[in-house]
Amino acid sequence: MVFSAEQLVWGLLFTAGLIAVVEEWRISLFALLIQYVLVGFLLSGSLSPSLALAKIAMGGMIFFILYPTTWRGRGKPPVRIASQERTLATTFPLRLVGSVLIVLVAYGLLHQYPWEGVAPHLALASNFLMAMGLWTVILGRGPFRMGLGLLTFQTGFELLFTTWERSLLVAGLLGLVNILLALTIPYLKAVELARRRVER
Amino acid sequence: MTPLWIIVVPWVMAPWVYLFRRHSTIATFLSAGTALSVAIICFLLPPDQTVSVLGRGLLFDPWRRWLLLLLFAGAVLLFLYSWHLSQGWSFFPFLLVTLGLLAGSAMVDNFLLAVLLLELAGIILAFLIQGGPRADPRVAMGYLVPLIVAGSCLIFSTHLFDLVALYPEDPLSVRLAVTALTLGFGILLAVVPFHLFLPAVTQEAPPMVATFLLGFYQVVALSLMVGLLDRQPWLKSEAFNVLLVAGFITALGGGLFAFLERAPGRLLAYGTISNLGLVLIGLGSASGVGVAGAIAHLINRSLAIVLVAMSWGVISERYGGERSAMPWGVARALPWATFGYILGGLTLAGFPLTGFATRWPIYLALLPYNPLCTFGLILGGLGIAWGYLRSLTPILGRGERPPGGREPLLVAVMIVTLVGTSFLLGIYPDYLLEPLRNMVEGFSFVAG
Amino acid sequence: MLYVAPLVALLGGALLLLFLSPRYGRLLALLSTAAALLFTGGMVARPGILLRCGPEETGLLLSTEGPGLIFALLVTFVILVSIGVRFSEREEAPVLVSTLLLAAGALLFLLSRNLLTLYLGWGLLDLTILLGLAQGASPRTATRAMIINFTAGLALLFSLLATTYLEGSPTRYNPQLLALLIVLASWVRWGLYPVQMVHIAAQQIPFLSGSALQTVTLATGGYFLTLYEWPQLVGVPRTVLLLLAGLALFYGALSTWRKERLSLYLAQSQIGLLALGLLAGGTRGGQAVLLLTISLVLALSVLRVGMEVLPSTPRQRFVVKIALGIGVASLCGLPLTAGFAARWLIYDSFFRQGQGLIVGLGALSSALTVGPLLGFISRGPDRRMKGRGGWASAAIPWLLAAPLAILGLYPPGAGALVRPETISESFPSLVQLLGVPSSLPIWAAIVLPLLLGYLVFRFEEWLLHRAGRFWERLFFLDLEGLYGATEKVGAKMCSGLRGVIMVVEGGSLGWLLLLAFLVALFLWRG
Repeated sequence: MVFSAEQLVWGLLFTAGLIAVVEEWRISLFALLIQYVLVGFLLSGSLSPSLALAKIAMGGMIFFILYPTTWRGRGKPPVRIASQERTLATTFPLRLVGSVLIVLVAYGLLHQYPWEGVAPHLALASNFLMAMGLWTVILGRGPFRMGLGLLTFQTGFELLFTTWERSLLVAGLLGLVNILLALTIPYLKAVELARRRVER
Repeated sequence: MTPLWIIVVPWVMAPWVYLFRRHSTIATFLSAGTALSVAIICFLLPPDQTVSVLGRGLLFDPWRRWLLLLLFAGAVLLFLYSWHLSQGWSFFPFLLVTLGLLAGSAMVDNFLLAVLLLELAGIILAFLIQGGPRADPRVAMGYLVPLIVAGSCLIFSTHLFDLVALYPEDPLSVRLAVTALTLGFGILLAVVPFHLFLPAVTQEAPPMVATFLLGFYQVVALSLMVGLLDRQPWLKSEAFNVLLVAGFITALGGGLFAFLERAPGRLLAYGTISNLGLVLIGLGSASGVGVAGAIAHLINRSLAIVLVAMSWGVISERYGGERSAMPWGVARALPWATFGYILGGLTLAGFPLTGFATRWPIYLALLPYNPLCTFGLILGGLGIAWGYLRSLTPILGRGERPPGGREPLLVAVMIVTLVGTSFLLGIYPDYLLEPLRNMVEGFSFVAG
Repeated sequence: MLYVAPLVALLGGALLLLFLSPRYGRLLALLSTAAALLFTGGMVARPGILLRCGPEETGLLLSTEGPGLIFALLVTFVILVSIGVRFSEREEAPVLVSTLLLAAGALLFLLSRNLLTLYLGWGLLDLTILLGLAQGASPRTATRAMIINFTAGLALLFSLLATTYLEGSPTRYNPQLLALLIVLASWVRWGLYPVQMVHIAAQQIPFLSGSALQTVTLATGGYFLTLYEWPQLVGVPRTVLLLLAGLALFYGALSTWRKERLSLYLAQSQIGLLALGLLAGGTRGGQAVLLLTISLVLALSVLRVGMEVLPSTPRQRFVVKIALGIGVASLCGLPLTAGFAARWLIYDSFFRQGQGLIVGLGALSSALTVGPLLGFISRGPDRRMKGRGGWASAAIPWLLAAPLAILGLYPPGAGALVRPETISESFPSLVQLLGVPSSLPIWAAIVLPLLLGYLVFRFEEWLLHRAGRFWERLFFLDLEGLYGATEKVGAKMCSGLRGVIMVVEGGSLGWLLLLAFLVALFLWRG
């Protein structure tokens, strides 16, 4: 392998952290793409190379599904909804501090309740991704950011589950779930943009 | 003709319907015709068949037959309603795809695959919930997040089943599995306190989409749970207590929230949540009377949901889009829709001639064990009734006539038919209860 | 088939009215009700079990063996007469449909023989009442009426569950609670103050629906009381209920001086008196309920119908006035009327229980109502100076007034149609009533208020002038202000709680709290 398992885990933690903390859409989207690549590398040690490659390809597909819509929404001011004005909860320092806390909680839970039959690095990566994914969803103020959080969570979950269930059919259906999820995000984002135009 | 047709036919027709999605008449008749054909196939196919697809079995037994019949017959009504009252351009083709997925989920004999198919169907529903630029996209996201989390919990539980099979004496595995299942089904079925996403969805989504989610999608999810109880005997010891407690909290909580509510969409959500609690209690009683009553109540609940949603859909459409409160003077302008709305709401509350008949067996099943909880369930119904009866003030008041005119004739006929069916079920419940009692005797978790 | 025929006739008529031309609507309604009356009368000749489905206690049970048959005859008869008034004029289809459905709902309720069937009949009755209220009742009154009715129906369901399934089980139910639930249900069914919304609404809707609504409410309330006599209910909080009944008695009596909604206040006063009688523990509860309900329904219907009749000549007006006079006389308790016999039974039971004070209160309330009733007779019908009706129209009120006189002369006639064992004791005849040794106080209690009331009527103008402001403030007794204030406070509280719920549900807060709760639960259980 090009990278060691530990490096891959740190890489995944970094990408998940970027998605949660940074609001710039380009960074978040590229972080998501890298995330899928790193997951593919991580799984290549325990799964067949073709399946790992399929994961990476799926990640690429999702990237190209999300990119056009977010590109179309570039340059427009962020959605200012009266009920969701910038509050303390959505500021950068709190996102950063919260992410660190979430990572610590995830680590602590794994330490207390380890996953049986799962390699430690996989378990760690999975916990981090699931926790950070949920945290991103909670912080998210629109379909794009919430969608990224969901995809991160789903990635973490699949990382864990594929160590137990290696059926091709199940893997295919899980991939389909990801693709469909990725398709809803630009649809909802497009609706959000359309509503914003109407409001102006 | 095999059960595979039930899954394949809707998928085959979906692209054709998509082509004509902007021509409502063609789309309606294609979709309704497809759903009707599949319903007829379900009726004509002999039960107790198994088909193998990709190494997995598709079961078609009496239980699944009636479930799929309900699903597709209900879909016919939804399609016909949408002919004159649009539910979004994506409604017809996407709903057909969803129906195929749900049929697959109901029939596949592997729980993991069933959950995945259910999750896929749920994601497609998110497109329908959005239904165009009118609704707030945060609502659809708010629906997707719990769906994915619930799906993950249920998928995770399948791994725990393997652990339980390997270490049956280990109570931790059983407890973990029950916890995962509770979380998964709790979120999917919007059991209190996991119901947070549902009222906003019911308020913002097109009425028929909300109907499909509450009255049919949840029914299929519940059928997965029933199938699990039937096939996994180790679940019985813990699951029934969970069902009873969760059911009681849901029934009472839903009734309380309904009591406080005025917006018709949210009121419908809380009313259905409360009724789902009753169904869970019936299942948790594990008696023939209770389980049969629960399934009968599920059917009655779906009927009431369709009635309320159709009626409210007409009212909100005629008065200009989604409204957060009942307009004034509706009774004079739209008498049939008003009557359907009130009667459907009272059915959800357990009105004597309609909703009470299927609640009665559940009360009877619970009463010997816990009379106090039984009385509590009645109070839950009272909350729903007050919520709906309070809307009588604007309904009977004087207001402007809607610019959209009267109810479409077809919709009025459907409302009247549903009202008649509700009364029939309320006066002659044994027509439904008797065959159900015979069917539930075949479930392994039913005692006596 | 005879047994379901009345219901079929009424429901079928209501259905046909939706499609028929308005020209023939009243005729069809008349024929449907006449058919229902005939079939109901046929049940008298062939009493029996109408329908049984399941065990007697816990299944559906309709039968014609109880006092419900009398009330069923009464309801169909009064509605038939009401439809026949102004026969030549068209009536709106919704009004006719709601009237027929009210009658059907009442019949199902009145023929019920156990709690479960009664509960189902209650539901149908509520639904038909809703249709009646939709004919023009004030929305707020209609909403309150339906909420109260539905809640009281659940009280019935509570008692059904409590009695039927907990008997003999280790779990003991509280008989006091059960009695209270039955009293609540019957209080609401009757529409007694302070839950008189249905009676208020009956004054707001068109004559036909209003007359049917009031008749049905009184008849079904009376029937409920014959099934569950209050004296037999153990542990009812009598003091509180006595106060409420007394309040109803005087609320009704005083409010008759407002000269509007006369039948509402008269009904409240009279059933308040009956409620007092029942709560005082009278031994002839069933008879009193039966006789007073019948006389009240007939007398009030005479007044309402009399106001609708349009006599075209002075002689016809005179004939109508005499019929109205019989109705008024019965309401006052004049001897040889049904009202007199009913009061006799009530006052007799009061004296037997040593409740002379309550007799005094009842007499005082009677004195208060005589004046407005005399005023109604002397002024009311003369307002209609130009009428088109013939002698047939003038004779219609007599259809309702004549039974009042007949029952006054022969009180056992009220119970003659049912088997004696269904009434706790057999009805005393007029001779037996008058031959009671202690009859002098009863005579005084009935006759003296009539004299006093006449005097008050003679000096009505002077009294009203002196007590003008007091009468103006009487509207507080309707409790509109109290109900309105309660609704406003309730609405504010609900609005506040709704806001909290929406904040929790709408954003991430709810899911955060849930997540925190689950993690804590997981850690605690682990």
